[in-house]
Amino acid sequence: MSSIEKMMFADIAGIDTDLDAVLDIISSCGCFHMENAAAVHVSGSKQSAKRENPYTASLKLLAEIGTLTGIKLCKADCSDIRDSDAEKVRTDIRSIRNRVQKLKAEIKKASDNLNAHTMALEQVLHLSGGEGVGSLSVDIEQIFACKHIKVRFGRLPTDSYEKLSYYEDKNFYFLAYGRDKEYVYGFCFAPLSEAEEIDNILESLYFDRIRLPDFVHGSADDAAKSLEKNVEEDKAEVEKRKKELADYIEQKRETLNKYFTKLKTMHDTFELREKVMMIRDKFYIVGFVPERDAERFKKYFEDLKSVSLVMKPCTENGEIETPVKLRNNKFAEPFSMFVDLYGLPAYNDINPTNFVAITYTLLFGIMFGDLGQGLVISLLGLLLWKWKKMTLGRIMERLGVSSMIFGTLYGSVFGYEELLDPMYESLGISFLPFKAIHSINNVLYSAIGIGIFIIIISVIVNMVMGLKEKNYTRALFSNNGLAGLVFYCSLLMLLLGGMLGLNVGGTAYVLCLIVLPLIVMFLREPLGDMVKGKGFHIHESLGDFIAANFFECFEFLLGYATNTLSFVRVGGFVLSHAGMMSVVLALAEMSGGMSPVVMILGNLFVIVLEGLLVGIQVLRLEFYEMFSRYYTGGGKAFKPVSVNYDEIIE
Amino acid sequence: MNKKKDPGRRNLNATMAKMHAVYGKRLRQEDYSALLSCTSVSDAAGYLKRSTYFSRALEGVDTENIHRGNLENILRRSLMENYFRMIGFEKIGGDEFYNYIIVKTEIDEILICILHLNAGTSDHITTLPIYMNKYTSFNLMELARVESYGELLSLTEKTPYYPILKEHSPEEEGGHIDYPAIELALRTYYSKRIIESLKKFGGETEKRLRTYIGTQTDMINIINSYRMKRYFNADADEIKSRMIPIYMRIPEKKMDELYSAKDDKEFLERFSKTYYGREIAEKGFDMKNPEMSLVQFRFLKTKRAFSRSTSAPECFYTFNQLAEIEVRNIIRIIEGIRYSLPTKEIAELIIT
Repeated sequence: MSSIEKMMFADIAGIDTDLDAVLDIISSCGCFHMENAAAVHVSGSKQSAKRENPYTASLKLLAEIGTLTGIKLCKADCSDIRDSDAEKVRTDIRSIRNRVQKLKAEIKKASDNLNAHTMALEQVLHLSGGEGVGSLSVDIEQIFACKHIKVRFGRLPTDSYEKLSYYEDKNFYFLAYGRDKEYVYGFCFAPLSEAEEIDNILESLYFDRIRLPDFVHGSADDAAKSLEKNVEEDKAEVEKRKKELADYIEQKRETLNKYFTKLKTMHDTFELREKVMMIRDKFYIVGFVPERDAERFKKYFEDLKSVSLVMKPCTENGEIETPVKLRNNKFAEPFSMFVDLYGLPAYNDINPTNFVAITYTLLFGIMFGDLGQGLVISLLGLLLWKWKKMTLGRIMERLGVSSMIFGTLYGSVFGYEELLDPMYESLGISFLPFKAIHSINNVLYSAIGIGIFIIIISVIVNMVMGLKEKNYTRALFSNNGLAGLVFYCSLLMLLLGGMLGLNVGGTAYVLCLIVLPLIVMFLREPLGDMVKGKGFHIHESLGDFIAANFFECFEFLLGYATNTLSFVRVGGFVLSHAGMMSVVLALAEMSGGMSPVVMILGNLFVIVLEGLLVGIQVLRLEFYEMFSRYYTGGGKAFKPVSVNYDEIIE
Repeated sequence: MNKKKDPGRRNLNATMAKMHAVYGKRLRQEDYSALLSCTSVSDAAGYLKRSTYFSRALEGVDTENIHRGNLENILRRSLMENYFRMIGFEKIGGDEFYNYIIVKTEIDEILICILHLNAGTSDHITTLPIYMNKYTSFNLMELARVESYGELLSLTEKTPYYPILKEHSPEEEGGHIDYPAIELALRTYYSKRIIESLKKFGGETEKRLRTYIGTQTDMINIINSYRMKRYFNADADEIKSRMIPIYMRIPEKKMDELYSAKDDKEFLERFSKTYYGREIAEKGFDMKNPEMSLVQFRFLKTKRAFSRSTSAPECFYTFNQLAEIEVRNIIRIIEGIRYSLPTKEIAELIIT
């Protein structure tokens, strides 16, 4: 049975020396939703117990190790580390970090060498030809040894290269040797006396001066060969250093995970102090515990004699909104995902999960009835749940079964509408009333019937909720209350009578069951006030009241019609499924005698496309046609205190 | 005969879809946070190259050794490349409206040239967007070579800017050039020209774009007049003479009232009663920093206009505005990093 978990309000008080022990219990019990005690205990001298967290620094070191090495720390068994070992853990982490830093520095040094040689090689290769200048066969050292000419080697961004013509009157020459998408490489020659001015010009054009290292000798081709050898040696060195670091980390991984788990637990538990209130040397903690866990929770405190734990029904706590934990049966549980999506119910509200589970499963089955495809959806759901732990997978398991049941009723298996006929014939059933293609009217009328039934149930649920809250406007006089229900049912009877040629109605019927409820809905707010004993009052001017309520009532009338007709889509999808599958069958036939490839692809296409569409449409019906009638949401989720091992530090 | 359809009336759904797709790749808050945490220009350039759609613009660029100025030039060029990519997608470049960015670039470069003439400096070439040279109505390289107002006039003689520049010629050659007056005249010309080019679209497109451009002009005027009031305590006549004479949501009379406020406090008080004041208050912007709130509000309006745009011209105009703001944000971050500003201060200048 779905319901909302009953909550107990827990008020814990004690001497500050016991605070850490209490926070340990709260953090590990898994059933305590903590609130800020300052919201309940009002006192002039109160202060928060929050202090600087002593575990943050060590966790930051762990995070640094994680960043430096790229390993992801995770939860591990740390029962062999005692709280008193904290200092040793800290020292150990620091030494691991230092070792990692040293190894990283060695990798960097080797990489820097590699970069320097690679860069030099790249530059030297630019000297081996380009723009019709041919390979540079002169010794590079000799070029730079010119006495009266200043030589710069480097690159200009291509945009800047185009701007060189601006400096036609200046006394320098840029000899381009090679270019890529972004840069033009080359030598710049300038007289020694004007070198400073030319350097300034080059700088303003973002000229990157490339200093060919001292180890570059000889002609461009000779230098390139020597550098290629250096690059190979450097690559080997980098790999060697990287392996050294990887081995070290592998060796320390388990220890690091243990330290992480221990420190993270202590850190997050310490953070709980933010919600603890201190008055002199006494601490106060408040929160909520599910009623079913209350006894277990109390037992944790038995050994702490100086700590007082008072548990009382949450209705006695007026200051803090009670959090909501849904309790669902096995069948309905995964459907709470949809309720979460819309917003949790308030604590005193109802848990709609059961209703959602039943209506969603039924409607999906009706709209997507196919024995074979339902089986595929169920199996797919099972796989998603087992492999990826996706809640949607559990929902798909249930929807698939519903689809199979309705598929059997429709006689539809992977689009073959006659495959089950022999089975029915052997059972003596020769006519299936819902064979979609042959009974379109039946399907559409049934869809509207289902809609009417669901709308009536939704209105009744809303009435019950209204009465529970003593909100008579909602329960009796609103469009989703008794007045609305009478109006809606009477109007339907009148229409049905008309269609069947029955004599339903008459002046008294219309006046009492249609006009009167409409007037009640029109006057719902003053009537609600009257029932509460506040008298019949209209709060705004009469003109405004009439205008506003006239349009609202008009909207109610439209709403009844559109909401009911909205369920035609249920029938529409039954027909569209049959239609789409007949297209698949036709294609399969056209491709030469029921091609299995076309059948499989066609079925997969229909399962994905229609499955998705039907899933969305049913959700729409749930949210717009049902929830809007009886459900408001807006509850606060029950979040038990826990340690977050997914992030090293937030 | 295969007659080319007027780009103003064409169905440009593919271009619109492309712009939305490119917008989808925009920098998110986490990208800005990552950029703000960079400690050097090369780090920031590296991040842009590795993790954002600027990787295309930075392909082949050595981000390790990049100069800040060069990075800024590359980002601005990328903005233009994006613009030309959109223009070229369904060949709409021949239309007066879609060429507005070229007009804007020309005006910007003329103004930079005048600033250099007044300051007596000659390094306009450094920032010159040389890649735009083939699109502009005068030679940008020649503009960088201009050494006097007379040379500027003869270079622009066959362009629509000539009458404006001629009208504001200094009394004597080599004398001081009235930059604010020329800027106002050129910006006004630009706004009027773009509004004029909307006429051929007609209907809702013209109306919506006219309103959008008008509100943007309103807000630019408000921001500028607030600055003049706050920092120079300028009087109403002086302020009005420096504002673009286009009014949209606030009538001229109401704007005059704003300009005539006795100080910046009274200005804000009067402003709070205007359409924009009410809107800003409703959106919950912090008026402790009115300039930034106004800028943020302007940005919000542009984002809305882009996401609600139903026609290609609207989509195109607002898309380019958003792209420009994004590049401006990145440049601010890069400058902040280069000059070692505290991260918090840089973050306050980012419009998101």
